[in-house]
Amino acid sequence: MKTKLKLEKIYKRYGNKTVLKALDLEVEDGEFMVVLGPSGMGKSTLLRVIVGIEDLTAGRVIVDGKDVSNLPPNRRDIAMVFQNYALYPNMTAYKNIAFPLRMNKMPPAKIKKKVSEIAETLKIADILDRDISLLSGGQKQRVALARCLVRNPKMFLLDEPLSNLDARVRFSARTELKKLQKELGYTFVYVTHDQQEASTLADRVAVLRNGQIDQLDDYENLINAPRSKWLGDFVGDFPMNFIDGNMIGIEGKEIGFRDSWISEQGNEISATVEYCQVNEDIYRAYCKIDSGSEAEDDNKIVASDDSKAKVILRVAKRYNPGDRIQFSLERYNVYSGGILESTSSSQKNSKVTS
Amino acid sequence: MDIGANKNAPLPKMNSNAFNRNFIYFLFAVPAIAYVVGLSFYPAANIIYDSFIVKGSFSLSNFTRLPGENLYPSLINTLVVSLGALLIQLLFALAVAMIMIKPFKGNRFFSTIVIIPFGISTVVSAWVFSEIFSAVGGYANSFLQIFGFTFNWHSSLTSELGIVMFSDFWKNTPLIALILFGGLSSVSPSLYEAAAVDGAGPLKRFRHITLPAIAPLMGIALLIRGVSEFNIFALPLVLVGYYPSFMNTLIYFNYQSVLNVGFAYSASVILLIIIMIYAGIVLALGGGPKYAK
Amino acid sequence: MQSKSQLGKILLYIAAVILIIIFFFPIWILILTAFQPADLSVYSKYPTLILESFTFSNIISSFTTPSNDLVGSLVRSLEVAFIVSFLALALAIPASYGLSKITARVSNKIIVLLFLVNMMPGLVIAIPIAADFLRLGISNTSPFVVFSVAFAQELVVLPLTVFVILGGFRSLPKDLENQARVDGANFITAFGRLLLPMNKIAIFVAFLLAWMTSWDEFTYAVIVAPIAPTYTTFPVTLQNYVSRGYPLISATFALVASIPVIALAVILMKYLKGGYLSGGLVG
Repeated sequence: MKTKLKLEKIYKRYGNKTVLKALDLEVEDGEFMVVLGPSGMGKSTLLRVIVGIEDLTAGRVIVDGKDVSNLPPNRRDIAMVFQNYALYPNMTAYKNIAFPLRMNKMPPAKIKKKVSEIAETLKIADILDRDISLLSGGQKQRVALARCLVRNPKMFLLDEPLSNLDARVRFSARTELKKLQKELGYTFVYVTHDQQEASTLADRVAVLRNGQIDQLDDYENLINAPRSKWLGDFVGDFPMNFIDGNMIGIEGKEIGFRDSWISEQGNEISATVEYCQVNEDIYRAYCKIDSGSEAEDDNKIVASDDSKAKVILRVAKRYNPGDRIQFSLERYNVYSGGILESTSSSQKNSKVTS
Repeated sequence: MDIGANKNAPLPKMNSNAFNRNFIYFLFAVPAIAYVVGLSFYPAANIIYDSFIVKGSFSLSNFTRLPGENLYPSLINTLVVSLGALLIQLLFALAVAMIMIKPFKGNRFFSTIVIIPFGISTVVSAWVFSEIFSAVGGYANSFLQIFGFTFNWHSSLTSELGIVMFSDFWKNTPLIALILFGGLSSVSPSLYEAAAVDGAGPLKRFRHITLPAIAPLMGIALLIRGVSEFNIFALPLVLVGYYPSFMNTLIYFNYQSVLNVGFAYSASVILLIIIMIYAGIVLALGGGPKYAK
Repeated sequence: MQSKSQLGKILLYIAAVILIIIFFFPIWILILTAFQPADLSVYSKYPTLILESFTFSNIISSFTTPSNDLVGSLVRSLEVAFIVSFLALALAIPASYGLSKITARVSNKIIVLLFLVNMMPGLVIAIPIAADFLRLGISNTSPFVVFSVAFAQELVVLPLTVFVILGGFRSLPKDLENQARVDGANFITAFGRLLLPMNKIAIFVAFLLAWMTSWDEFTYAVIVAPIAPTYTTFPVTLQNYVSRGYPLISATFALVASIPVIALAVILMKYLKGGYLSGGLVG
């Protein structure tokens, strides 16, 4: 596939604070790229650098093979939706949407046609004459999106466009956005801190941490094989569980597993329940891993003496505080020094039976 | 510039746009800054220089002989009237602003009436007050006559300073009231309601809600008005002439005579110093412009 | 509770009435002198406090007496006010835009500097400038008076104008300009089509403030007056009449001339409800 956007060794500093540090990223044509990361990690800055609102400290931004690093935003032909929508308050919805077309000196008749087309698509044709201040949050979001989509630019940048919407609207907007993007074949770079958005929208997810892309992968791989303990902790509805200690064959390393990877059938690991929560018919037990000086059984995974490992387990029923749970792992990852060493879904069975 | 991390990766060329951009924004402000600084420092330097020159050579005599030219009374009158008028203005402006902010029948009428003095030329208001407060007769005495007595408003220094102070208060209170009104209208009414629910009486509400909201604006008002107060000129000139004398009327009086023009320079320098001290105090106390962030 | 709020209302009205009397009394006197024959007002020892007889003759003569130059000097004063206000906008709009984009730490220092410089006593500025004009042998002309008074008054007006407009720019959401640039507007278009219209009220308020504090500028005008005695501005002409003992005509004229200005003050008040004098202030 053709590369749409290429970021080469991008640096961005404010004073002596480095926000982006030698960041590399390639986005393919027609791809929905989600940039995921905790707040304050430079996600918005990344978009601002791509679109040209913020100057690069060093590095290159290449769009369609052309270096645009030194072009002003109005000459980069990249559209963007800002987090707070940045609708022009002194204009109606129609004028807001028409603004980029007017800036491109499109003839008025054509502007009218384009605006009504996009308004039809986004179901906002009936509010075009309204003042911005009279629109609801969802309507504002649509107007902002329409203004972004109307001009057919090289690519689109979206900065948490759904974060200001209430939950119900957000869900439908998400589905619609993805549909639009695929139908029209647009290239999206979409910034969010919302895991669900990343999982439902993204072709690929780039996790941004400390000014660099920590892992670039599809969401499933991020869940199953996070490259580091930090990623395992950050990605997913619940943080990945980690147990350090004296495990056969992996001494001094840690195993990491998702709560969905446990099986209550086995007895490889034992833990004491601290409390149990139910959410949408899923029980989650918050437990402390029992520690022991050595394993009674070669197959048992025992935490080291001083381990205070706590895990969150998805379980079949409600447990009370103090209950003991015995469980096995259907799969797990091994981390050494905080970095992924191996995933074990295939090798595990042989190990358990050996 | 040093990037630090990633030593093995060769760095692409550095971009200095970020610095340029800030600098360009600063350039936007340069004409205004240059205008103000150029057009005031040049004359100020000029007058300071001139104040030390007598007959072509350096001399302190413009300063040493100034006390003989009515310096101290002018100084005291200026300070008394300035600070007094400022205090009355602040108090009344606060009262006016707090009434303006209240919804009551007649609010529009009240607001319109109290704003009028701001639109009246200083010289005109000075003349009106000279008609009101005359030595013999005048409108104030027409009123007092109803009660069977009259008063010579120019009979004592106190009453003469009093009428200057009052005229100044009348003319300038509306502007301060407008400034404070802007501050008051930024306070959400629900804040007062919440405080009232919490059991805060009117005084507590004033102290903990109103005052903090307008304190920075009072700083601004003190700075802007205070400086103009020390520069009080047209009002005393029209109302009382050159006596009782104020710093500016003293300067103007000496400026008009060829022989005494040196005193105009030295008195100007002294006025400049007083204003600088005042501004320093206000700024040190936290007045003046202050912004969020 | 009911009686307490009733009491509060009564106190409010009492305070309002007292303040109205204080602020309206001198205006009433102006009206009395303007619309009554002189022997009931300025020529009377104890002038009447009520409107006893009504005449337009004072007003008519103040506009038509051939020897006076009130109309001419008023025109000059208006010219001064407009030059000052438009020059203030021309300098302050770019300045406050630029300052709004710089970090507050730096721009606040610049604002303080402007205000500090503004504190130069008027006469300290006026006298050396006038002396220079004299040295240059500048002639007794109307443009000379108008421009020199306007340029000097600009110093007083500019810091406040920058302050008000800066408050306006700072209150605009930052991303709007960015959005416009992303939407394809160049700098000038984004500024002219978006930022200026959105900041128009602050600019309007600044203009009104500048205009109203300039039209009756006195200090510079009186210092410049001896250089160009036939082209004095309105307040100086007025003061000349008053000091020569012919106040009636000028006061009458002044009242009429003040009416539009008072109207402006009322308009200004309406816009200040948005708190424009406190623009970017900590609230």
